[in-house]
Amino acid sequence: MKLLADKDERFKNLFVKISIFVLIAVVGVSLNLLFSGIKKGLFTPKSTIYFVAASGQDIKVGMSVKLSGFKIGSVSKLDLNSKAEAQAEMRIENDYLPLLREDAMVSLKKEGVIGDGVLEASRGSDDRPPLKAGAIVEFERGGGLEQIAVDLRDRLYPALDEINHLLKDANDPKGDVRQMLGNLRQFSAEMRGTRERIDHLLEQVDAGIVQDVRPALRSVKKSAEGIEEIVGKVNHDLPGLLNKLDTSMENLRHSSETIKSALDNSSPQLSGVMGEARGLMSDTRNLMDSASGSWPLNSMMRPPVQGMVRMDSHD
Amino acid sequence: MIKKTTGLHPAAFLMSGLLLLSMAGCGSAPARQPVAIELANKADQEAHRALRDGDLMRAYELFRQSMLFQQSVDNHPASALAAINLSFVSHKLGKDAIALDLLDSIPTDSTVQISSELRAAAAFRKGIIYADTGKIDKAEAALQLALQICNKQCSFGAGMSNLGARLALNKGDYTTALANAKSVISNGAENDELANAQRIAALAESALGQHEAALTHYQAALELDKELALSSRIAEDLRGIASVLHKLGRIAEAEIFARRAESVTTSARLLPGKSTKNILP
Repeated sequence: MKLLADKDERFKNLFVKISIFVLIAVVGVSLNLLFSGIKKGLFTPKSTIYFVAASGQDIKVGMSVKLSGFKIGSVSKLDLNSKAEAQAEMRIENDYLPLLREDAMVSLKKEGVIGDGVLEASRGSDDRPPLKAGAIVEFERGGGLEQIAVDLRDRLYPALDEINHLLKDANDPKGDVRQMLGNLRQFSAEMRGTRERIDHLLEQVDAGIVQDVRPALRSVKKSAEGIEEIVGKVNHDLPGLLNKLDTSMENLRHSSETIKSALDNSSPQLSGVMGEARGLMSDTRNLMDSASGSWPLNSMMRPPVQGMVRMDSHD
Repeated sequence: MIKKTTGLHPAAFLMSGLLLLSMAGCGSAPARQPVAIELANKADQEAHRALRDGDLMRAYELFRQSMLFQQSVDNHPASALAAINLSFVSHKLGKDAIALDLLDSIPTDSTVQISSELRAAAAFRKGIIYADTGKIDKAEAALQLALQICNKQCSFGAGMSNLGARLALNKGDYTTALANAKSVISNGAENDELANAQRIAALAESALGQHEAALTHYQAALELDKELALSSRIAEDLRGIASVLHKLGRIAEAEIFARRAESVTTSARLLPGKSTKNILP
């Protein structure tokens, strides 16, 4: 039985025509797949590198591994090892592997404040040999806001403890500071008494009552003895007090240095956080601007006032 | 098939699709302008908002930013507009020299880029600032320039008539002041200028000994100013009524109005960022 198509000139060699068409389509699709595969690095030779983390939290299969901001590979596998630690396998492109040294590290970071997590690789020391396939590298978590907060807390707590200790010492009635103040107060009170006696003596002298001068002088002598005793006491106590004051000052200086060092170490990260927060605010503002100009929000919002301030002849 | 899967008639389905497409068309955000222009507009909008909230310092900074943005892209009309607004805020902050400097070159701008309305507005504002600082001759000159540029085509004609009436009052020419104010009242104007005209008329009539008429005009000004909720003007109206009642020998009533004026002034002064200002001579 002959096909109907055979009667029509256009259906001659139909099978060949369809075959060519299908072949072209298959070749096109294959080329497309091939090019996209090349672009995505599917055919790029890679080597396997491992790292071990205490926890697999925030680490995912497919997560990018970056070096100086460039993607050099990705996490290909994540397993628990015999010590219940997370063992991750990374596939690093062979072209970039020589850039990493044996002491290279990978750290878990976030792209922006709310961005995806990435593994940022550090090169390691130049004097170490290049990293080889199958090697294990160090891993650290860091960079995120939470980490900064924990760092700050760890550094500030000891400093605050020191300050607390100093304040307690200052408030303690038996402490050096209070003792010193008490002694000074006593000294001052005794001096006041002495001055009163001298005043009295001078009054008596003014009156010219010679017989009263002698007892007054006795009083002066007594006061002077009192002063001498106090001065002796102060002389005895003062070196010890000064030593203790020195120790307190040293503690205070140490605390201040600890706080300064904590702030110095945190300030680059804080400035980064500030920058990211500013970026986030700017993005949010952009989003709000765009949203408020679009339907249906633009019909709900009062149009912003622009142009000339209203002219008023009395203002 | 459509009916089977969605439960809708195909025509209804098509209509829904078209409706969705038209809504998407409405929803598209307006086209973005160059960054400097967008920033200038944003600063201008925020300055108006700050001015409305009584935050004069912020309004000053934002109008200044807007002016600088417009100057940086050589946009003369927009930078002149921002300068007029900045001058307004500067005057309110008591920086009269800066306010006048900002306006100096605008009225006499010889390029065609700045509209006559803007040039007249700048001259008018100069007149107001000079009047407020007691420089009557300079105020008159600025007003004349504004009237000349404007040629009766400006939107603030009533304001200029009122300024003329104020200056006449300052010079003791109560008849001219009254005539100017009455022309604004009879021609009609926005409520703020109408209230100003009523107040000027009342002041002139009070000075001319027409106390009953002055009382009526003060009452009209008070009603308008209450509608506008302008504390300083309300206080002024109340003080004016108290003064006229005193002249009419109605002392007890005069004292009540004087106390009301005092209360309004005190409360307004206690508000953050607010201050009352004596605006009439």
